[in-house]
Amino acid sequence: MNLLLLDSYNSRIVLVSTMLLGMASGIVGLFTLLRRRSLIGDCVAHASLPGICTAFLMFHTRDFFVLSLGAIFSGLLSAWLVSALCARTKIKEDAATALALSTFFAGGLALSKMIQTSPIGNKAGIESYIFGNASTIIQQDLYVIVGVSLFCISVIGLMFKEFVILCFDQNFGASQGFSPLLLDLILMTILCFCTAAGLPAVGAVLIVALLIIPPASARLWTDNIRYMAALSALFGMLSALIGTAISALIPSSPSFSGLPTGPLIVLTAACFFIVSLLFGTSHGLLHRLNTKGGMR
Amino acid sequence: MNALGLAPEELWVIATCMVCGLACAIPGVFLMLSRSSLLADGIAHATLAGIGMAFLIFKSRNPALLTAGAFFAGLITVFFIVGIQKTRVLKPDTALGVVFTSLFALGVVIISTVAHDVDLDPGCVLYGLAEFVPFDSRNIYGIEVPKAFLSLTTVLCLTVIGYTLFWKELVITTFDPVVAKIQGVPALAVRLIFLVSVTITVVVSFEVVGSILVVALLVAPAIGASMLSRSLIGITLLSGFLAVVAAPIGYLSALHTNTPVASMMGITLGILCALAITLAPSRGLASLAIRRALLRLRITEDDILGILFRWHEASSKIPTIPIKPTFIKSALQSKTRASIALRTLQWKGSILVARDSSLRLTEQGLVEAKALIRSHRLWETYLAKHLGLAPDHLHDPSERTEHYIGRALARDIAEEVASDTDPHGRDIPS
Repeated sequence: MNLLLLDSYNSRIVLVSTMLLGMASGIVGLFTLLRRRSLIGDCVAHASLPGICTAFLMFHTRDFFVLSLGAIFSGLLSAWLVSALCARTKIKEDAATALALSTFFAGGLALSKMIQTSPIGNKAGIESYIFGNASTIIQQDLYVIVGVSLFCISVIGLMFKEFVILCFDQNFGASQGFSPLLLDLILMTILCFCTAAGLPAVGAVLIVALLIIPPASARLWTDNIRYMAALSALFGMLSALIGTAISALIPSSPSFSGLPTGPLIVLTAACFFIVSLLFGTSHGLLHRLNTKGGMR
Repeated sequence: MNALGLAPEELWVIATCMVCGLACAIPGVFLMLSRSSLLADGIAHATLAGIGMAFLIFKSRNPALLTAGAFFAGLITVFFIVGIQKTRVLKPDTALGVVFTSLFALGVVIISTVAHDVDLDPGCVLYGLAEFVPFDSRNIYGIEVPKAFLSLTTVLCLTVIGYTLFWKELVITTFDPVVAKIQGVPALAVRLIFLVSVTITVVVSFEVVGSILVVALLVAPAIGASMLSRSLIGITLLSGFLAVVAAPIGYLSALHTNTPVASMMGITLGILCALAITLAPSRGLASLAIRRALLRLRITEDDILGILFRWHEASSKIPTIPIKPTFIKSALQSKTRASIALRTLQWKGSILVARDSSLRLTEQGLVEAKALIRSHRLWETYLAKHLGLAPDHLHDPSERTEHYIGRALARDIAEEVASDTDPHGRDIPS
């Protein structure tokens, strides 16, 4: 296995970058989960597609940095739309999320079809952002992914206390001088950063899995938020490691294009979740049977 | 060819999209009301795993088998979500996120490994195949009818029949499951049957519009309709109407821009929704903003009348300098609003502007101002008499309340306080 994964510089850095991405999205996702807005990640991820396509149509480049700026912009726009709709109309959060998600994605699909039929050159690979495939990543993209992941991790690390207050008692936070609005904006921004960084490897449809599944698994093991964050990061990292490894270990042949990385990472995370759901020491099903079974 | 210049095949595409929109719009209303719109997203994603598994097990591309597989995967999602909700291990949205992303990933893996040599690719699951609907048709009494149209019409009919028969149960379960249980309605069973019907709709529709855009068809018409109507029947009918309207618009715009029909239909629905959210007569954001602005203007007008009346009152006792617009503007909060209010008052004939630009009330303005000051001073008297507020605490609350006391209420208060002067000793105009 080591031979296969570490023989080239490129596969090493693919592995490192997806692992860092798994860590970052695990930690960021934990806070959206605790804020009971897990599915805003779904919305932001789907909404990144029109941003990528618009950025491509405007600048005619496949440079990942430019495209991810587009993704971040449209992701933030969709998150803002959802919260504005909830605040100003009687539309409920789930309906607003579903509306923003599906209409933005519709726009993205229409734009990506336009790109396919347009005469602009150098358009190969735009489609791969929908499902993601680590094998199409070029070295330049990897540096962006590593940079963004480290940035997200350090922002959360530096503002851990503030985010914890935001999640558990935002009124108390406001009384202590932490503007919930600003903190929410920061959280949404790094969520969009994470999503954008995950696009080439995991894709727009599945990046949300990395934002939800590792935190949901970690939640089942402990009630201490520090351990939870550490566990969530660990699950995200291990899922990325194992998923990428399996994808790299199964060689592609002319008749078989190989297993896509993104879905494999997600499936690994799902396995971690099933184990956590059964054996989680704080909310797992077996633990429940042992402690509360008789009382219910 | 016909009036729109469309071929029969194209008309079939539009008709299929209309039926698909209708079949989705009706359950969409109840999904929205039970706050589980995102469940549609979950079901739609999960179906991919079902299609993959069906292909893996039966090694065939028979549409019936694949649809059955998709339906099965949708059911698993529904039951898992309802089950998780009962155990309360995780929040429902988190559970949903975990389940559907895992199933979708499984679907992508299966399809890209096993089925990739067949033309079953995840892309067409996203785009839907609305354009190709007419190519798979069946001959019925000499007319070539697309199969997708037939299956969607069946689903639509079943939905309409089912919803009409069980309307009462569905409504009560959607709004208040607890009351439903007390009334003897099997709430859990109704909810499950409803979700199963949603699953069927999603599975049958997503062949036409794709797995994520089916969410737009389910959610957007309901949201738009809920901005326009307050009654449930009204919302249901309107959401069906929006879905039907979106189909031809979506098709024609897709034709012009050379994009997938399904995504253009999704965008059309999004735009219709945005229009409803901003322009709805009673609850639209623009209508609310206009109403707020008009209220502000009325209050500013009242304030100007009040200032002029008080000046009038004072100038009958002692000589005072005349009031000019500049004074009014500096006395009120917003200069622009004050100047607009001055114009409208002048236009209504409540105030006169003299040659030296000083302002005075007309006969009509005096009557209006009297009514306002009467409300103000009556309220001051009432507060002093019944709440025992100190004299320096009376003005501010009355300044707010004066705009809302109507003639009838003013009469009642006058009877109650039975006084000709307010606590500051000024006359209460009659």
